[in-house]
Amino acid sequence: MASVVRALLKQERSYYVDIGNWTMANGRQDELKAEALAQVFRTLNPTYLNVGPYEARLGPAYLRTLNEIAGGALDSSNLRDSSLSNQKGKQIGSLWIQGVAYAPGFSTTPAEEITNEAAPPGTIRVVLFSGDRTKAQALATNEPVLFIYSLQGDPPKVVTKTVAATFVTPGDRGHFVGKIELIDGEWRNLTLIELGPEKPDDKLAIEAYRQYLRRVSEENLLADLPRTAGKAKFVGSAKCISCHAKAYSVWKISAHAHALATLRKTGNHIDPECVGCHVVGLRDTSGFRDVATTPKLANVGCESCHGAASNHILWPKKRPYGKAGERSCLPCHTPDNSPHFKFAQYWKKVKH
Amino acid sequence: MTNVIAALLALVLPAPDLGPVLPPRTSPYIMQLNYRAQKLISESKFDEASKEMDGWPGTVIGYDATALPASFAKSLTQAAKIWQDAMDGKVKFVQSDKPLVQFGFVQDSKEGLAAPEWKDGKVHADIPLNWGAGIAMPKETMTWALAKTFGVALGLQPRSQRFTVMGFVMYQPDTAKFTTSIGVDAAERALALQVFSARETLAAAIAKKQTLIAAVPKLDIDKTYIDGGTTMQGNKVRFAFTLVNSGNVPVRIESEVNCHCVLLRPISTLEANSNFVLEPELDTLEFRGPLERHVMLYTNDPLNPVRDLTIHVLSLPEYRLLPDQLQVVWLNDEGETQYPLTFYPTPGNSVEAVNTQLSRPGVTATIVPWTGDVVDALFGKDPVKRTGSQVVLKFPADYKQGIDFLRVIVISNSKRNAYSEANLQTQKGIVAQPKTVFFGTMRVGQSDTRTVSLEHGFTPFNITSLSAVGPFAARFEKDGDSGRKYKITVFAKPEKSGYINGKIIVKTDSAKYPLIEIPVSLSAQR
Repeated sequence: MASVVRALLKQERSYYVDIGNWTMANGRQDELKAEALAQVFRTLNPTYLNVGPYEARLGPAYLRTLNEIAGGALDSSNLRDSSLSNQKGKQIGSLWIQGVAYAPGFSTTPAEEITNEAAPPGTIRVVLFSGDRTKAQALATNEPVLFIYSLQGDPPKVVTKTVAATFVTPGDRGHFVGKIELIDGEWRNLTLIELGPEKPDDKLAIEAYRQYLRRVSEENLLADLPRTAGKAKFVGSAKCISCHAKAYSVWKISAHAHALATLRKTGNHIDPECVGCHVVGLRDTSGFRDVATTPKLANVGCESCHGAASNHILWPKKRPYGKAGERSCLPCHTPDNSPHFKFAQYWKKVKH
Repeated sequence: MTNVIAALLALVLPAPDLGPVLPPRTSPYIMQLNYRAQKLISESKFDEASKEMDGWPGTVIGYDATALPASFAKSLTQAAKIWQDAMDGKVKFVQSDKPLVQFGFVQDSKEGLAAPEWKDGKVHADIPLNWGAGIAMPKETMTWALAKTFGVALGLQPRSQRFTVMGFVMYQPDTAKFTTSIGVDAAERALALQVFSARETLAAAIAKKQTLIAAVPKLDIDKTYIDGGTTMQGNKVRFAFTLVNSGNVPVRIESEVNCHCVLLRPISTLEANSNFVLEPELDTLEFRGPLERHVMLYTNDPLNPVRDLTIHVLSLPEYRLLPDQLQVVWLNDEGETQYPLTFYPTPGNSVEAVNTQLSRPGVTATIVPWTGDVVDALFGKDPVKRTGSQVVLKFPADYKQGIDFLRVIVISNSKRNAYSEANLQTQKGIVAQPKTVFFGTMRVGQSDTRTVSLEHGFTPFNITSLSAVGPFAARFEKDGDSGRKYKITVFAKPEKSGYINGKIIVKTDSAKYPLIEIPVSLSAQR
């Protein structure tokens, strides 16, 4: 993303804005991630980084820190939070930029109060709207305004218009950077640039990512992961051989059996978000801890798909145990992590 | 009499053939050119049609790659050969003074490879010779980028599918190669051959001055947005769009959805003068609140090839577990702390919490019946009366000091969604927020500041001294009048390069928490 934005900003009078929600704010790892992202944003000299409902969860103290890391571009026009400048809008050239979060449950000024207030004369309003299109459309008045709204999934590559308002979205998956031009007072030429592997990685973003991984490792987040105890315990694939020798031999030569090594190559073997899909039972108290402590639970094993087997090895005939199918694959083979996953094709590789 | 002659002629003369139809994902430029040319041929305007066809690449496609460095010469030969082979030798790519394919080469493009595109009757491609910061473009990537441009000239549209010539890059400089040869896949080849064949058909008709009936696939859709109203989370909501082909040849359709939660029985061909009800089904199991999803239709309708169908629904859960987002809980300094989670079925449902799982030892949970008022943003801003249960968490007196995270899984008897999760950020004693101070990358000699909040949930305290280890300094000030909160400003000025760890040491007059250490880090570069 950073390399594309950096290239786009070379054009005169171009501005980088973000609608927010770039962290899930669900624990320490998300905090570290937010700081790394803020560090990258800073290098892009952003004009306005809107606080989305997720960032708002971090609380005023953390938002202040993020704002410092991001170079002071983090703001919101309707979040009542003293740690930010809380400008009603930011005038950049002929643009009047407002950050609005539709954040139920948070201390916010109603969005309509912000968008109904007159923009400075001669400016065109741009609303970075952390809410869906229906709500954005409800806020639109008869003045010309650009709403950049949020949408789950990839964005439609079309612009929605009402009489005076224009609605665009980059989606929420981080797959696209949107570019739109203001020509003769009209918003035109929406381009959604897809961030595939043909876009080179950005040197400063790589540096920030390495620092992030280092901090994840230093704080030992893998060991500190919240775990819960299931009804059965994980025992490791080796216990399955005596009854399921054929299945074991198929697994042993599959990619699943050395899934952790692929993470080690990229340095992600200490990252709990990655490790969960490369070992057995990471979020369980009886699951994988680290290679030294629980070597039998390293890599994707039998129990990754079939479930913890301690009860099954004691009472092999007791049902239900072991039923696995496409649904067992989907938590890890997600569209982002495994874009080419097709059950019928992948199943052939591990069929047993 | 005239009618009789006309009828006789109709018996003797064969009816004109229908013009060729192009498949979806053909370049819109070629699709529209095909449409315009056929219209002219159908009106017997052969000269005008012939002029129109000049813009459609034929058997010899000229390119200008004079600026391509000699070191990439082999890539150019290979890229041309890839398509020549795929097209069974029917097309040839040659260097030309009047090129249809205009290559531009730039030294260093941080933006990466831009998709080749039709502009002013030519295919333009700007290809970087270096990948980002001075990393040379691998020869394989150059071959692929040139081949993709030739693909556009043949009428194909770039897409985001990987491992294909028209999709994303096949080779990257910083990762292992994942394929050994660049080749056109079967679908790309079929598409290119079909476009080529359509061109041949039209060229032959013009040469023979033979009229054709313009083939027009025309897709009409009754609406492009449907609001499905309100539904219970876990339900599958079905929407219906009526697709009508009002043209004279089949409309061909490829569909895409923007979320795995949209199930679709796609239609690939819609015959002329027929209709079809497209019924996307939105599975709300994983999502609650207002949901907007999109179904994109890529068609061969030359005037409107891409359609966006929007579906919307408000998904309300069968039960609620509050708080539903990370909640900060201050724990008592002395003795146990109790904190209740609220679990209740939404109106019209009767779900109960039956068990819990907790991620930290020592914490216990008890489920007790409850009735009370709640403000639930999903149901409005005003308090509403609900009946359900409370999951009362009990934190022991010796629970971890500082910031910690607790995950609570509440198991219900719901058949739609048995598990629900709450996450709590526990804070005990004097707590620094953020937990560590991070300056990121700095230049040697550059200075920067960060602010840390130091707070006790209940009791005022004083900072008696503040010091720093490493190239850092700190000062503090009171934050508000409570006496429980301070703002610490941390200064950094690295004097040597490398990753630097340090800390801020805070001494307080609190008997229980006399010493707080806040780690600080940065990466300094020259």
